[in-house]
Amino acid sequence: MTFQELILALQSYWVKEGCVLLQPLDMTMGAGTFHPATFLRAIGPEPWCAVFVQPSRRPTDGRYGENPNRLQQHFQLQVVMKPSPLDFQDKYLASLKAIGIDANVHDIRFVEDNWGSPTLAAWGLGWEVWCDGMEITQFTYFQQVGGMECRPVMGEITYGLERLAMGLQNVDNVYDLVWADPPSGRVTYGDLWAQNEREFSRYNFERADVVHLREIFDHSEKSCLSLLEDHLPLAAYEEVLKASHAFNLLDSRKSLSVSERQRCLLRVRSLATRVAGAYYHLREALGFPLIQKGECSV
Amino acid sequence: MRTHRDFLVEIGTEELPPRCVDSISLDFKNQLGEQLALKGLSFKSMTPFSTPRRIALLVHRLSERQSSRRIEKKGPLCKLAVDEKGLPNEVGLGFAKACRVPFEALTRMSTREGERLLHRAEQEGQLAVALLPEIILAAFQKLYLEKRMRWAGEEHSFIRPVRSITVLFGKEIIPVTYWGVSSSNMTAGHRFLNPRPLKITTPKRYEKILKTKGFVIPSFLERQSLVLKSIQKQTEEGSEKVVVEETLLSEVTNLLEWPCAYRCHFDSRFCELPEEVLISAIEHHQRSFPVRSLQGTLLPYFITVSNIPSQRAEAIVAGNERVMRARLADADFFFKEDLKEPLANRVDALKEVSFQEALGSMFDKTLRVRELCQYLAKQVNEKMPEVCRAAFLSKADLLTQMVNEFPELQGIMGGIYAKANGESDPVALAIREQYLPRFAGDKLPTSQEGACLAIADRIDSLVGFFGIGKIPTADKDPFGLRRAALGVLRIMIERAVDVDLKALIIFAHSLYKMHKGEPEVLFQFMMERLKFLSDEKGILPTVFNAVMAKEPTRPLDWQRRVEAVTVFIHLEEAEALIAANKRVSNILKKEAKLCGEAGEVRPALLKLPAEIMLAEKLKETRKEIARYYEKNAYTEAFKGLANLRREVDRFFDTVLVMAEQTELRNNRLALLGELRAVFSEVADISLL
Repeated sequence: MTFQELILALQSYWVKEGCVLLQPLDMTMGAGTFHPATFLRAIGPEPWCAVFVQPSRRPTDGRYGENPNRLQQHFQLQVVMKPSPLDFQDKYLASLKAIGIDANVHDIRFVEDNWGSPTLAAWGLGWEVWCDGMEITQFTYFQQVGGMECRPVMGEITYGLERLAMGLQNVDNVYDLVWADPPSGRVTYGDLWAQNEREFSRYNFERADVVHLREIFDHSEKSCLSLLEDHLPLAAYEEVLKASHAFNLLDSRKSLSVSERQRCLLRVRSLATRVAGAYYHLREALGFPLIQKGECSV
Repeated sequence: MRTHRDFLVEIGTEELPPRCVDSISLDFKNQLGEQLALKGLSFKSMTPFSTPRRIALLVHRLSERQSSRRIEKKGPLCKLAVDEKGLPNEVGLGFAKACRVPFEALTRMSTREGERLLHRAEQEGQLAVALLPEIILAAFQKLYLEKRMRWAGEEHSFIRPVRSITVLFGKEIIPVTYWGVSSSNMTAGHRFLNPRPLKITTPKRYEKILKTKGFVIPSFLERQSLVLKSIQKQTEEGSEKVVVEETLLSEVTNLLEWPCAYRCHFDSRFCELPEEVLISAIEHHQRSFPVRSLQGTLLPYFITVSNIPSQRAEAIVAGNERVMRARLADADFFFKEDLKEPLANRVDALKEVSFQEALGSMFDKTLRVRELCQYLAKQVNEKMPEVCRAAFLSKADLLTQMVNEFPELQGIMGGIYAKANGESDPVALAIREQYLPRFAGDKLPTSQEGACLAIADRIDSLVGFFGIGKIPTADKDPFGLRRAALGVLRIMIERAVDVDLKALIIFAHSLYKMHKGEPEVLFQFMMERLKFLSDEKGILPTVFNAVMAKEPTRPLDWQRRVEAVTVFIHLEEAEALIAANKRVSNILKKEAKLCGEAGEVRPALLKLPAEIMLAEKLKETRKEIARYYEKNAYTEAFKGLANLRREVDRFFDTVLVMAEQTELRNNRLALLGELRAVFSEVADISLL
């Protein structure tokens, strides 16, 4: 199964399960959880089910394309369902079957994992799912997002596509993964992303303009607050994402002192919390429109 | 008629955190047992079951109904309720009616006020069937759960989502609904080996049905021994052994319902990595078991225990080997990279590592810990040039890639790298041992340098966290300060590091240059830990209090006193001397109010033979035991004191302390004062 077939198979499986097929957000972010279709939609009583791939950036994980397992950008396939279905685990296991993982051949295990994101003021409980000892998925029941209790609870499944594919294709080096295998010739993960890893590792660690990043951070914060005053939580949230990524880059450039780093984290957290509150109130003012429309009543 | 039936309750869940399973299982047993007792339902015994996906309890021979109760209800006085002929009037009939019996069924009892009517009856107990739903719900609600969660739209929380509730009383389903789930006689089998719901016919057959049809071993102990057996099966008898770590074994057992072990291999070139790294990768990260030669050397194998007998074992082996290969390749890379930069060169970069918000960086901490080590070395009067070097390097391994990837190896890697950098053995050992003891009952640092560094590191953290108000509460101790305090006390006592704790805290406080935080609060907190330690060692509370009355500030000294008093109270003379001391203490307390301080004993005023003899013996004894005090040989000192018994007894038998002559009286009080002082040197004996 090629990398792209893996994406297609998982997407069509979850679409059949009732998820809306969304697209990645066209912004830099650390994980699919930051996508508004996860973070914002987890807030409030409205039902919501979606599946999408999100390129996820972890600047400090860059290894100049030289490590077979580590990337500064990887792909997450994100599934969110609210309220979390009672058979969420079974649905997940059926998705593994759909990509050819037979649970009577492979050792699938749900291993306790408590997830928390200090910047998003969010936490949840669940598992990392192991397949033959390899972590392939994060499985989380959100308890709090943006500092707000999740009622009902959103369930989140995050597939680490590279790891999953490495197991499926039985390769030891991520760059050897077959992304596509058309008649015109095989395309590997390396063909597509090796140069990207090399360049962005240099950018993240050596070249990112620290002075400018600080400006971005300060400016995003200011702009987020002013957008909130104007009751534009969606636009305000994009400023949170900008600030968060600027913070991650400042971190990989090692340009933050200890106390500064802590302060910046708290600043992003405070913005995320405010946006969450504003989003909730706005949806409330609209009468939580998806409740009336959705067939899953809460 | 049936008098009892077996009873089963199972909570079926999504995968529980393995560390919690045992404690929830035990708690459920206690709670349900308590609720049954509360309702007067008796049973023979209980068998708990637990797997990652269920907590269950089989109650053997639960009684069919509450035992019948004898009811006695006092009625009105007979003279008010019955006429002379013995016939009831309105009052008598009214009471009978209230008791719902004919008047003739009432009996009489005599009381102080006179004879009264009495209603006596056996009330039949309620049926268990009627009581069980309430009992089960109460037990569910009372379960103690460390971290609760909610799911879907469900209001009630549990530790992971609940998927089924199975309740059988004999063959009968007891209806309860909780966590949005209604009870039935169905449960889930193994997730993959038999995913269809299973019907439990009777409580007694629960275990058998799960095992034979469900591919689930519901008994923890049986599953654990199967895990062990299947591991043994994968090792070469006669040339290999597996040293199974207890916590890992129980964790793995609670990750599985149907254990099945596989033997995996890794490239033998990785055997050159430090053993601790390999163990950490195998045990901690992969929840697998390392294989050793009979001589104890690690071999390039590990045994993983899976949840299924795979139709293609090689797939599970290949997957696990791939993960191990990637992890060890990383570790190998980190190790070689880390060695390129000596620890000493990394210390400066600790300025960029946070110790704790508001408490500065790890570099600041390093400097404080070094000063504390110097202080401690001076206190214990040992020349330890190495301890300051060890302190200076102690946190540098936080900046190595290995510790970044394997945080559980901090300290251990520091020791390994220090040695590789050419630091001396004591330096390397102290760095390695600084985090010992890591948990209750863990081993302590073996070297004096390691002990000092371990104390310094913890005292610095304790003082810092107390200074910014992060003081542990009854149920919250997020920074593990209780454990840190206990660690300090254990090291001081068991490794005989004789230090004044109060002075140490004050010194550590001065290093922070904080204005906030009372050193006294921390000192008291630590002395309370001493009480905990003391209870754990089985020291009598009276002995503890008697020693604490002396307000000791050196934990080692405290320990010596406690030991001495414990020996003393078993001496033949102890009882009489303790009594005498209480008497002396009472007299002095009373007289101190009347006459104030008694002053010194004046030999010329000693008149009676008994007081002269006591004074002489006292003088002699004091001289004798002074030598013992000098050496902190408190037990010997007490033996010396025991010799005073005869003189003390005779004194109280023949001398009247409260003599009429003020001079004589004061002199005798002064003598008692001296006696008390000599006895109170080690502990307040009058409190025993």
